Amino acid sequence: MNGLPRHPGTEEIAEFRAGITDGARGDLVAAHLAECLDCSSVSARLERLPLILAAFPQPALPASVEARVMAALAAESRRIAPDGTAGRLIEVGPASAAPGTRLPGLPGLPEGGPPPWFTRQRRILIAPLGVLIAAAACLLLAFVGLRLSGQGHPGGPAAGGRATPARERVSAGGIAGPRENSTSPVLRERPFPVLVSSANLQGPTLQAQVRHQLTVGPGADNQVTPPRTLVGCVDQLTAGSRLTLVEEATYQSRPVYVIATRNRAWVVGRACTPAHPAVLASVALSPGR
Amino acid sequence: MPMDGRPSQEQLSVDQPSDAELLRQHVDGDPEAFGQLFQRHSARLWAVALRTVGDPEEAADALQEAMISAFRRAGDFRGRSAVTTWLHRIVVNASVDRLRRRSGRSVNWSGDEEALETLAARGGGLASSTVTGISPGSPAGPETADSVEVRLEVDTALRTLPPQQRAVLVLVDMLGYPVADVAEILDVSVGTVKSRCARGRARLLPHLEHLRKPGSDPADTLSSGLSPEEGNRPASPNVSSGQEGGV
Repeated sequence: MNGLPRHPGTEEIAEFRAGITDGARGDLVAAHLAECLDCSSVSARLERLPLILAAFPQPALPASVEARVMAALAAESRRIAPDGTAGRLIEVGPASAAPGTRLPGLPGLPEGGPPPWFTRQRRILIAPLGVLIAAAACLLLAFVGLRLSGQGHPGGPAAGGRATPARERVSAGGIAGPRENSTSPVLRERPFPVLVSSANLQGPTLQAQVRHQLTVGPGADNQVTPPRTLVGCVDQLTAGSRLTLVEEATYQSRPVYVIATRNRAWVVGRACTPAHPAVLASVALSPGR
Repeated sequence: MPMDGRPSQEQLSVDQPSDAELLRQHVDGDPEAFGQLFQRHSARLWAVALRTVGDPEEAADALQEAMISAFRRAGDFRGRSAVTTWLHRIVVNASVDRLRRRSGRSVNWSGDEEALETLAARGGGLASSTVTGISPGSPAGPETADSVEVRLEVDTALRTLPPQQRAVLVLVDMLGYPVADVAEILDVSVGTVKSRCARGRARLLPHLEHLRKPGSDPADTLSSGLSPEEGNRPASPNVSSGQEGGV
């Protein structure tokens, strides 16, 4: 056994291979592996295991998943936008999701940290407590002032009387995210024209085709007013970002709408609705993409 | 931190903002900045989520949760690590969280072909992406029946591991992240990453030793030519390389 009382287990051999068996124990394992056929076989198989695991192709991100995450982010942005910070401050539950998507609770933080909902909830619980304490202090001061002056002076110190609103306190706590200038659902109030073209877009060349259309124009025959469902769908996907193109076209011979902003284009089915955007493809249009 | 699988900041054209700049713009209220950041790294983040969780639907949920969480917590980012490290950490945590939540459930493959096809459809039959990420691993491509079967066996074997071991093996062995990067992502020591790798590999070995690397010689299994019982004396393992190597 070369100094070892018994054969090392697979885990110990793996640890040795990983370089975390130091000192005398490492020397003993090395000596054992040099002479024991069985254990050296295990070591050799362990050496080749990562090759098996590494041989898998990297999974491609489905366009539907990317569109879904982008829609959820857009919804999150929109949820915050109307009131600046106000909307997000009282949210302690799971993140909002795009309609039709499943979205259970938030993931946990890295080991050792409290989950975000806990931190927020605690802030929200502490804030009203602060208000109560400040109000009590104010009342006490007012009472003392009355007793001392003998007059009915109802007010306390301004800072104590006007307790910092919970919202401001939570805001000062630094919950992340955009605070102003966010998107707003303006599209419903300002409908956009839908260009009707005979373009037949193809998956592999979609990005180039859309970029070309944005550069030289889609060659549209005419324009139509968008149906209400499309307006909602566009709003859902773009979150109010400035539109650069909304087009009736075909995608791989299927009737579709093409929706583009400065950074991204979506191909959606004609049945696109806010709840079911029916994204068939999505490409980035940002420079360098 | 040189995180494989994403364009480095040097590779970004001069008119493209860095990750940190995008995050700052998001915190300052730019409604498109976070989306751009996500799209820049979406391919790698998806790979991490899918390989860790092992189920496309759950991986999509985990990725979405993670991105919403990152969206909300962007103001808490202090720049102590790269933005990609931070994003990866949130995705890994979301994925591990899901693994823990579903620990009572498991997927059993009975071995019949119909079940195999169903699992294959769930695991790999997703629509092709229009996003191409730079990957240290093999690029996505059509899977053969053999490779689907191998992937399913690996997925099944990975499910036997505790979530943290699984996450480490996915990042190090499957996706090719350096050990130091994984330590930073998981906020643990390098030694802990190595230890989890070692234990995970030891647990996987009995499940996967009959497999061969896709595309290699059929006789080139993990166990072929190595079993003393078969009379094949193995080549002497280079034990010193094991000590000096990465993991």
